Amino acid sequence: MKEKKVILVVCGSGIATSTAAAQEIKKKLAEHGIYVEIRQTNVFALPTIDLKDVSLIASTCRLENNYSIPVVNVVPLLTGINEDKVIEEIIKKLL
Amino acid sequence: MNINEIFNTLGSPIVLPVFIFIFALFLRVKPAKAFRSALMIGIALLLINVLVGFFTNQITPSVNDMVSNSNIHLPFIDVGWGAAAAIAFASKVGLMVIPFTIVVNLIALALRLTDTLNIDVWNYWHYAFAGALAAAFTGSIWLGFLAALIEILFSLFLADWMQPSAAKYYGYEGISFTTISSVEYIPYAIAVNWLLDKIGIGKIHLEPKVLKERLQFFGEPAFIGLVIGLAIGLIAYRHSLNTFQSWVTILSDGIGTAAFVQIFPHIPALLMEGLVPISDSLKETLSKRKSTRTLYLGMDTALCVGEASTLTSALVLIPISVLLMVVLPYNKFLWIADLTSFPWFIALMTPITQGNILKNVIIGASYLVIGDLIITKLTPLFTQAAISAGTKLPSGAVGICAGSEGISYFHWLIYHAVANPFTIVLVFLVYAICIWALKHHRNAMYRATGYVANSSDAGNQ
Repeated sequence: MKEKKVILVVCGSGIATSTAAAQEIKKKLAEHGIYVEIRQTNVFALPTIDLKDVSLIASTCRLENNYSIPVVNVVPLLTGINEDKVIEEIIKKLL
Repeated sequence: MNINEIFNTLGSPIVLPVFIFIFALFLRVKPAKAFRSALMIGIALLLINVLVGFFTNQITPSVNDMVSNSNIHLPFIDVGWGAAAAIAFASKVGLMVIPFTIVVNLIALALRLTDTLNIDVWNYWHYAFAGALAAAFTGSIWLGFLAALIEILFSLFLADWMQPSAAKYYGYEGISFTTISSVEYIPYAIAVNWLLDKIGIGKIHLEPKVLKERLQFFGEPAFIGLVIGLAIGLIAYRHSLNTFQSWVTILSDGIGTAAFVQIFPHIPALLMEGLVPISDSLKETLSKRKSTRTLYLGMDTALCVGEASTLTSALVLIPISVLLMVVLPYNKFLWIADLTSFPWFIALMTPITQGNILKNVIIGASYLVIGDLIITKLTPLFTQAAISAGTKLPSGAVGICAGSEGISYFHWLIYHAVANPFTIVLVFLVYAICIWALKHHRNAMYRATGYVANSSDAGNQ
């Protein structure tokens, strides 16, 4: 079996909204049979993080789009509106 | 032993999980999940108490020496907002704030007092914190709930008022922001912004990119902690720098403060993990109630924090607030842990100033001149509440408070207001005027928050 892909979940604090989003991503992807490793961080620390083994950034705040890997805004996972569309986007960009 | 004594002896890390478990089962969360939620919350509360205890034990002797050996009279220690969350959940209002907030919100929606459905369960604890302060101040749990009620209503009003401007600026359709530590500064920001425009400061623009890169290191909590810890130690023992013992203390203060500031914000993540199943279950129940109205979903201003102007303004405020705390003669509060919480303080000022960093910083800094006075007055009550929530303070500790919660004029005004029937009536009168103003002068009110309607949708208003 291949190694799990890593998703980096980013929010303002790296705590509240990213924890909620991280749990949602884990749950929804597992429903699609995809198991990922989740890491969490905040926007302050993001520039200092090594993105080498990260496959995707899932953010609950707006990020300037100058990263080498795909960035998905996951606010819909918190509101529950258009949740499935975001999950589809994550799966598409992850694979 | 009566029931209160039993609860106090067991402590909130044991009592609260039991309530969480029952509450989660009541919301039809599966037992295994409910149990895990309860356990996580218990662990978080215990760790908050342990870490605050560790940190105050480490830093108190040096802070006391600093106060008696130098001109820096800052004996009240900033332990960060996690401690306020622990006080909120351990208080008599406590967990009940969750069903209470939802019921108040649904009634306010039915009465057309608001268009916001606040689904940010995580931040309900702010309302419980206002309630905890009011209950500690007046001795009445009912007045505690009244304080929470007032804060809920005003946060919904402010969220509605700010909605078009914030949604447009940050690009979040259908979302409003309800976080107390952000919305309460909207009126102040509007007033100062207007004043700054009058005197022409609004024309000066600072470029966020350059500033942000230069100030990035302030964004690292561990670094801030290390510098402040070392500074406290150095000032306290500056006359005995030739002894080994002094250096042991100075360096321990540095690493101890860095450790605390770095790790402490991660503890409430456990609280959050525990609350997620409860919040999910509530969200499902609430979203099933189909409504013909367009509702805004109330969310955490954490969604705004990454934006360049907000982030940069918050970074600039860190050294300014350190300077202010030393210079302001009435201030006794030593900012440490919550220096990193300024993005929430700034988040809703940014749409009002249209991303003008200089204006944001002037609004923020001028507010801190008032905020430092409020927090100095609040600290004794906060310290007392923290002790009854289970925090063990070392002997000689003068006072602890949380920077971001302590500067809140909302909490301060509300817990004083509920103590007197006359001011209670006054508060509801102010609320009625706010609601009236938003209903009858909608466009002018929106413009004040920085909202500019597109010509295409101006006709619909």
